[in-house]
Amino acid sequence: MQRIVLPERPDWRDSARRLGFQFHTIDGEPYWDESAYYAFSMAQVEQDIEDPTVELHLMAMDLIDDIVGNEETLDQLAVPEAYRDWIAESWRRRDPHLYGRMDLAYAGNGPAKLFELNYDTPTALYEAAFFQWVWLDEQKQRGLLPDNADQYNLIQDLLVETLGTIAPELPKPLYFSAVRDSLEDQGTIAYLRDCAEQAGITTRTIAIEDIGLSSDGRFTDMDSYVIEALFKLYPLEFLFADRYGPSLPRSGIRLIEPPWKTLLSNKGILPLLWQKHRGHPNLLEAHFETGDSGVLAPGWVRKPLYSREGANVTVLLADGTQHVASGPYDDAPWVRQAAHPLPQFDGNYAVIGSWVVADRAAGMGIREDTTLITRDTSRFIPHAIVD
Amino acid sequence: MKRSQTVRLLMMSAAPVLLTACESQEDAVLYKDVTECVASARLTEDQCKAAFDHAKSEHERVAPRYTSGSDCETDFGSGKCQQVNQGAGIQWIPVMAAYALGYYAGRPNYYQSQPLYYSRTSYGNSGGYINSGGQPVAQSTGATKVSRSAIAAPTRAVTVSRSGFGSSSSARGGWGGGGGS
Repeated sequence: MQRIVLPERPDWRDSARRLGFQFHTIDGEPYWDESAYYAFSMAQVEQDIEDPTVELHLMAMDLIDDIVGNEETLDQLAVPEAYRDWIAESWRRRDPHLYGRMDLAYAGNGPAKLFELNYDTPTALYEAAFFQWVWLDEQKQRGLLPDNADQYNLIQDLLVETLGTIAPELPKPLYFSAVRDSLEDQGTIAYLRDCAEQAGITTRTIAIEDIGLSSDGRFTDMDSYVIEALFKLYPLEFLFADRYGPSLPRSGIRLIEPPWKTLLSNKGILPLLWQKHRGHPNLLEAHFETGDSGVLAPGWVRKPLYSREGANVTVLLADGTQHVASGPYDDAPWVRQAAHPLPQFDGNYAVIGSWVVADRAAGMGIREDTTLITRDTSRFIPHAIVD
Repeated sequence: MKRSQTVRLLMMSAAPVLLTACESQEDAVLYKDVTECVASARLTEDQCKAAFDHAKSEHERVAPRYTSGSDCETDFGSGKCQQVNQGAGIQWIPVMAAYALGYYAGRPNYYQSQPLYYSRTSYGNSGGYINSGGQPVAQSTGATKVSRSAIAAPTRAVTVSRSGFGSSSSARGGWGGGGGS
């Protein structure tokens, strides 16, 4: 694994415009960054990223049966009581899930370490699945990457295939929804909707804020058609906390990701994984914070159970240096995870987002930040497999 | 190869590529009118009439819309279009040419009806019945098999409020502007 500087494609911004990539620059700061790429060997990808991704995914899925029937664990995960039966029912039915991203720390050798599972509302999807693919192809055509350069990226194939597989079980049409004013979230659902259309699924979009509630307790679109199947790029725990939350269990709505996914996108999954697989090479030691946990010791990280984009994470390195990301997620319980600094390449910290589609390892995308905590301001850097 | 053979975009991009996917087939029956329905002896006269009335009541609301009568007649034939004015100015819609009963999982008494239109070009150069979304359903009336999406009419309900979702995001202001992670 190396970070290699490479000339940008001179016309990549035009390509981005033509290909619907609106959020390549966010608030004037570059988000898509092809001034360099990460080069991997096939062995690194297959043995150190792909295989552990499958194993970690199965370990996480294997925990759900333990969690859904255990009130004590559900308390530890701060799952609201009003939604527990609904979550359990969605798991008993095995409501289909679509995708997730696990964030791994990996430096090119040794076992990748699981930082967390983003299993409910993962983003950085279009850029990993599509735009990164186009980058590789065009750089090969220009002779800047070798003819045999490859990429770990079956994401779109698997998304289209999975959507086509689960669609017959879902009511039609399938609505795609995200917060209205987020360009990035809207771009992500536009891409997923495109994949669904490719699978022959009839789709609609609606802003999360525009969803209505009917007199008989069902959710409706702007024309008062009942929304029976909804892909929502909006955290399940937000839905629970919102005013309409109590109407969810009896509304009959089918969600993607399904309610049971809230158990895996919860940072509490990290200590649960550690309890069941203590010492696993791809896990970092993790515990629930309790009243007896004391102050954060050097070499530990503190994360809220529910957190997005690195918010409210505190990292206290073994040498005593502290990194803090402020944020709004300060009202849920916390977990503590052994600190494992991200590898540094030319002054950039890189984290690997390893994609899981349905239950299959699908590809990866790399994000870089100049700080230890990967945030929503991190840049996306493409990768190639060059053996 | 460790990556997709091809990637495609249909809607996000300037140059769409269309893939077709197989869909499960469902039973449906098309009738021109109540008389034809009764004659088929699948349903009682009351059921035939109820299904027709339902399709008819949906017709003006869901029919394909045109701003000019001649455009409408190009697709549906001379004299086969009618004027409507539902607040959006004068529009033209095709006349209801038949109605379809879609059956759920083969249950004979659990069906829904919807209006159909006879398009002159829906099956290449030959005519056939299409639903309000423009999807071809069948070339002639009678029993047929259709893709599930062609007969699954959306359900409506009375919306009593909006904006009950989204407040957690604004309360947590500015985190990527949205809900993704």
